[in-house]
Amino acid sequence: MKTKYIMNGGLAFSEKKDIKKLEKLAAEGWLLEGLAWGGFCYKLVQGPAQDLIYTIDFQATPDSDYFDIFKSAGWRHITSSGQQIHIFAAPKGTPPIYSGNEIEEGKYQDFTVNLGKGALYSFLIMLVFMLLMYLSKSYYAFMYYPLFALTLISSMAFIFCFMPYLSYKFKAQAKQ
Amino acid sequence: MARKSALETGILNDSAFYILSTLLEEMHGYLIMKTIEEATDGSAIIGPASLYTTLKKLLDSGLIQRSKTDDETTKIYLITKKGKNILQQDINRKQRMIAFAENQIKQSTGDKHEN
Repeated sequence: MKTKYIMNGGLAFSEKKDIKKLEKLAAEGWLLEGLAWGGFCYKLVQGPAQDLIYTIDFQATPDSDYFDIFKSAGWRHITSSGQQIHIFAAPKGTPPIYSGNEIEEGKYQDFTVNLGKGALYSFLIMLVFMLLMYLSKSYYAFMYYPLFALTLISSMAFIFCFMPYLSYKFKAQAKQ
Repeated sequence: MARKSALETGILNDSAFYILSTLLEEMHGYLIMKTIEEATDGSAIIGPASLYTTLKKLLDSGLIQRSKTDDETTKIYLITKKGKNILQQDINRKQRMIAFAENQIKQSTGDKHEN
């Protein structure tokens, strides 16, 4: 089976754009099978061309009822990321997963809170490593490079939480 | 801290209103969706994400409860006494809203005749 990978635009930044692209690819016979490379890419397999619609929902640790209800409504579960982000597909014309006047109210709410927590913790950890790194320079020079690496890793974790956090925060404010 | 659930103020959004009314009889999640769709001839469709999140909120604020007859795999829900009160309150509120609007329409068409 032919497989190809395309870049994930970062769901926090380009959810709608990514979905449009995936739907266009499905119509050309490239069907989304899952995420790959730690969620940075979409994995597509070649199959019959289909008029599909994709949707993304955020739900922290859903139970089995969650997937049952989606299945009953015609939405096929494709993949989940970190028990938080869930991708579904359905034939064109299936009613949307959010209905009524509460559309997407709170869809991002829990997720944003978790990202904010992640950003805060990784920031504090980064500060601790930075301080240790600074101290090691004069007392334990051999620890300097390992601590430098740890500072770098925690700063990356911080950026990967903080940037999407800001994006969702602004989205929520724009809606109000 | 979580803000006070809007449900407990007695103002229900459309999904919560339909779901709460449906749960006067105990029912499984999927059946709630089907029942509402069929009873309204498809004019009211509750999406699965709306259903799941609304059920969770209704459960958290004590307006519905898990039925004693359910098991872990299929959850069955039923309205609580508190839920019935809130539903009745919201029905009254909606009726007053409709009466007000209908009255306004009547008056405005009445005015036109006079002019």
